[in-house]
Amino acid sequence: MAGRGETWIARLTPASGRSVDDLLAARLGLDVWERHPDHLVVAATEGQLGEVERRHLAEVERLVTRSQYEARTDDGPGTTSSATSP
Amino acid sequence: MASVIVRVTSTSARSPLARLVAIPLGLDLWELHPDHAVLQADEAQASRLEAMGYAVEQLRLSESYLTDFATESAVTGYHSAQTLEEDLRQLADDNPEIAELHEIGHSVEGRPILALRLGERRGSSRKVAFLGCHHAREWISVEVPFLLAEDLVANASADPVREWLQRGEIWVAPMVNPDGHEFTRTPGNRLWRKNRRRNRDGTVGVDLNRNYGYMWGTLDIDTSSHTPADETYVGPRAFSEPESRAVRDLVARQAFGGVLTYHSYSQLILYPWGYTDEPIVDETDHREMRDLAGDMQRLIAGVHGETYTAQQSSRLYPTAGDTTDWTYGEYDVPSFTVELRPASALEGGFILPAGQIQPCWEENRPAAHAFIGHVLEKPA
Repeated sequence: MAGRGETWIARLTPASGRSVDDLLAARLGLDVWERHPDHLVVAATEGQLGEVERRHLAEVERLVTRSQYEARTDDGPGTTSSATSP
Repeated sequence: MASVIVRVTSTSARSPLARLVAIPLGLDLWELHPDHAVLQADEAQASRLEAMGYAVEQLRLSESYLTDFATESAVTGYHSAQTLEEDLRQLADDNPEIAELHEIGHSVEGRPILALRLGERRGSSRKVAFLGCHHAREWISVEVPFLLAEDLVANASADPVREWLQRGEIWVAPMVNPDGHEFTRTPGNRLWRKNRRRNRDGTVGVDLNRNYGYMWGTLDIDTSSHTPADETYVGPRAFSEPESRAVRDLVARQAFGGVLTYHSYSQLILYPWGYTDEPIVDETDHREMRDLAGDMQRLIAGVHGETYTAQQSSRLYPTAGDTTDWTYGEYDVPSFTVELRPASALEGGFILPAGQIQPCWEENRPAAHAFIGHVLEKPA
């Protein structure tokens, strides 16, 4: 993935007046994991997320680093019965 | 410093749970619920959370969690390219009257791309195809079509499978992207998506599910990109990759009456178009796919109660050059992308615990059967 620094799994909520479609069209090189009506879940480098913030395109919530996510591998949260809805 | 699994609740208005995800402490958040969160943290991080106004309850030490759950069997629940080949070959060898293993092409790195043909006779005009693992990191998308093949063989003497195998052919290619899948099994590369093509600019990989030849390259956005480094790089031209050419040639040779391709995750049942928000113009085709997707949604929900939402592909996000736009656009056959478990990243995302392979297969079995029945039993 292009960009600088640590890769994050992040939630991007479009800034006021912008839509998820605007975000998808912004050519940021994001790895889009989920699309919801009001936000995206993406994998993106710190550099890419910084660009999103600098351009005021979206609110960025850094959920977990990619390395932490990968370290969970099998038997992470999916095995818990409480985690069954988005 | 010891790492712990903790349950975090909010104890004051100044520290809402929703803010937890944005705190720059490097927390490893596993679950986020309306009233609590579960996360992995070291002792310093846990103390910092308490100082910020959160209640932190230690559930267990991470080390004991890993000892309990990260078992060899959990890790080995998924196929490699090698074990998949062995298992497909075994299925064919044990059932030569109904099963035949075909090499439909080779990957960039020379690995065979395999498809199992199931059916009692050759040359039937009724054929259906199931594909898996265009995207390397989507391991569950290998297992569901493989288990479908295994189940069809096991039930070959009982209706409706017996009748299907007498009447037509069912082709199953569980791993279209063996190079990428193998790469995800190496340290630090579990989330690799593309194939392993060396691009001209030194980057690696083409998104195979953007490399098909219907409306290829007509979008240039993050979900269908012309930038080689991007995860959804469409490639230099349509069918530039040997893996997508293998599928192209198989579909052209066999003239399938329907194609279903498995991906993960999000629990969706997608039908064309992906390249445009416009619905399919042919109302009969549109109704056929919309209704069948709705049937599959109900059948899946009826097994374990999981919701797989049926919708037009572009409602997820726009994609040009994907498999089902091509199979429908070029061959006019019902075409579906099924996004398997889980529903969200918080439930594991691309890294689905091996313990969920079986229930995921179980809930997709009746939907796959409905698709086979629809294609093979369709009036001529």
